[in-house]
Amino acid sequence: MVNTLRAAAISQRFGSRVVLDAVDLEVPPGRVIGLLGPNGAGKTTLMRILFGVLTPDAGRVEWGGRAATDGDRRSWGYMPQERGLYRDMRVIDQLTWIARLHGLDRATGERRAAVLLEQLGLADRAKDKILKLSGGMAQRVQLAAAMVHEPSLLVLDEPFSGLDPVAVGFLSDVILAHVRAGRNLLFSSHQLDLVEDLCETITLIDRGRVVLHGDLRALKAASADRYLRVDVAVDPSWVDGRLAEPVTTDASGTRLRLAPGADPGTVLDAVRANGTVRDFAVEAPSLSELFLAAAGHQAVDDEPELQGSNR
Amino acid sequence: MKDTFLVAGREVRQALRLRSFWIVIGVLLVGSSAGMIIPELVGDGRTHIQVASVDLSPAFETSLRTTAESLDVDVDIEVFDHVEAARQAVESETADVAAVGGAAPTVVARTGDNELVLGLVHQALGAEVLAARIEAAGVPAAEAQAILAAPPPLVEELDTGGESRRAAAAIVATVLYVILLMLMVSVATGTAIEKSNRISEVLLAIVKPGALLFGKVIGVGFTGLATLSAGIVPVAVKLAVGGELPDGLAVALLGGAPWILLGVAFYLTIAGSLGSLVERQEEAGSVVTPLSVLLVGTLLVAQSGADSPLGAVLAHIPFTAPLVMPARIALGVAEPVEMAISIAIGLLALAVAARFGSVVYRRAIVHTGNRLKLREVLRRGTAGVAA
Repeated sequence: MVNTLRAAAISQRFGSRVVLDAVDLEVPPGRVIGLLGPNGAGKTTLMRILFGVLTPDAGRVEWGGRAATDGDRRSWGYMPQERGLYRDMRVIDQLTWIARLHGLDRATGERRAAVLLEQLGLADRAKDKILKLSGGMAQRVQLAAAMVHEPSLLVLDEPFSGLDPVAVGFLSDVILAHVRAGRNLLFSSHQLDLVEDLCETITLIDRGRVVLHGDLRALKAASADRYLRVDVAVDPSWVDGRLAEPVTTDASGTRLRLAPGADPGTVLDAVRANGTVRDFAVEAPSLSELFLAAAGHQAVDDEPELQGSNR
Repeated sequence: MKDTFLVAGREVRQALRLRSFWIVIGVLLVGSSAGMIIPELVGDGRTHIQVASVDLSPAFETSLRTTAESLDVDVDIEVFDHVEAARQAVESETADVAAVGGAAPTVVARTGDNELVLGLVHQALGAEVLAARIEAAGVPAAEAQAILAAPPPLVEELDTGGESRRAAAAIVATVLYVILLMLMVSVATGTAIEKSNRISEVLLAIVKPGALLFGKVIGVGFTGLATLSAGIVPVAVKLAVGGELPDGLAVALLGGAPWILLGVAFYLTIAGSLGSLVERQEEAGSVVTPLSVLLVGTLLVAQSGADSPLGAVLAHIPFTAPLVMPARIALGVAEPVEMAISIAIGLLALAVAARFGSVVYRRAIVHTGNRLKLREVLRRGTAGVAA
């Protein structure tokens, strides 16, 4: 059955600190939804509220247009930011046990676990204890634990944190396969540039408030900001500050933000007058730049994620 | 409920995989078996005495054997011709005592020897003298012996097996203390590990906090009671085959079972919830220290004063009843009414502990960043605390 997860006007305080302030979130099926923002923005707290681990001070969580029940939540899958596995338990036993907690019988749980381990390249480690696995392998087992019951909604909290590029690609494929099957998926990340290509719809959150929400391509298209990328290091003196200003310079070149109404060709000519340009492009703002425009500051790790309880 | 038993089942299965679990089972089984078998091999509980007799009639032997039998004492009598030889037998410890008849009846014994032996021989020697005087008074010898062979008066012991009961009370209380202490630390440590490893966060997204806490309590409690049963099996087997057990042991184990179960459930529920307050596994032991201290004090009372007025009071208090009441049952001083009241209070307290444990666990298990104080958790209600 196709359902949409909706969180409406979620508010949460820990003591005197406002962690979430009337946050709305929508996770329709068949789309990759990114809950994005810097550490401390309130992403993990919101995910805990979605799963009923925390009860919000205000707001509601709906599934299919009605209040989410324990039974609904049991059909979802959750991979927390910090890995949560019994280190002294065998991989296959752990996955089967979690499947049973989700309501599957033992035989089905074992079969699902075996299939997942095969897909995740861990079939030969099924009988090993978690403590014998590498960090990357344990992370894949954690993902399997979230998916062993074939969840309708998969929620991944900072799934790309600490992964190498190969693992990021692998996990991205898993995410895409899940949504292509018409299911719901929400993941969080503070690494905006890393997940930019993966996200279809984003909710940008900062200090407990939603600062931007919508289809990523539409948001980019709607933005008045435009950037010129050139494959040469640009000195600020080469361009008139009223036309453009360099925002980043690295080994691959420079990215310049064009002033409203500025002609990209004029700026490009100014650069070419000082250096050799072999490659260039006029681009919409990146996810980080959208965040900067919306929040008024960089999406950097400026404070630790708040953690707490109110239950 | 199914979730609770799935959580409990995991605890049991993991415990069964631990080598230490089987080692403890083995030690208890061997130790308890030895305690049941060795007394049977060492002796039958009867006393044997060796008596050297000189110049004594059959009336002496008849009287000595009759009295000795009534006291579960076996007597071997060796007849000597000379006093010196009998005295030598006592000195060399081949005889426990020498009885000398004749004109001046005498009992020869080593200083400090068993008064029971002296009393038996002294009484028989007196009967010998009495028989001689009866015979001298004209009563036929056979008739005189028949008179003297009459069974002694029955002895009614008011404190039968008192020392044995006291020992049984102390043993049962001590074993329960050790089991409770081990299980409390185990359940608190398990909870702390799940919290520090963030396993609880994964599980709380699937099942309710109560299922996690009570599943762990049931699982750990079951393995603990299984361990305890390893020590009880030899006792039960000996009882089933008609063997004799120390007074009070069987009744303490059978009669005390409800308090054992209540105690395990009560203490483990509290310990599990307290384990959720800490951040690291290493802190789990310290969080149950107040309970451990309480148990030590309770053990002292259960061992030495369960039948005292203080013991009677503590047998009604849920924190102390699990150790004191089985001890009182072993001593035979627990009245049915007080047992009924104690059970009722215990069940009520368990319900309160379950509520308390559920609230503390639910509020504390998802809090990370620093160790919580119990007062803080109880006070904050729905206000929340930032890490």
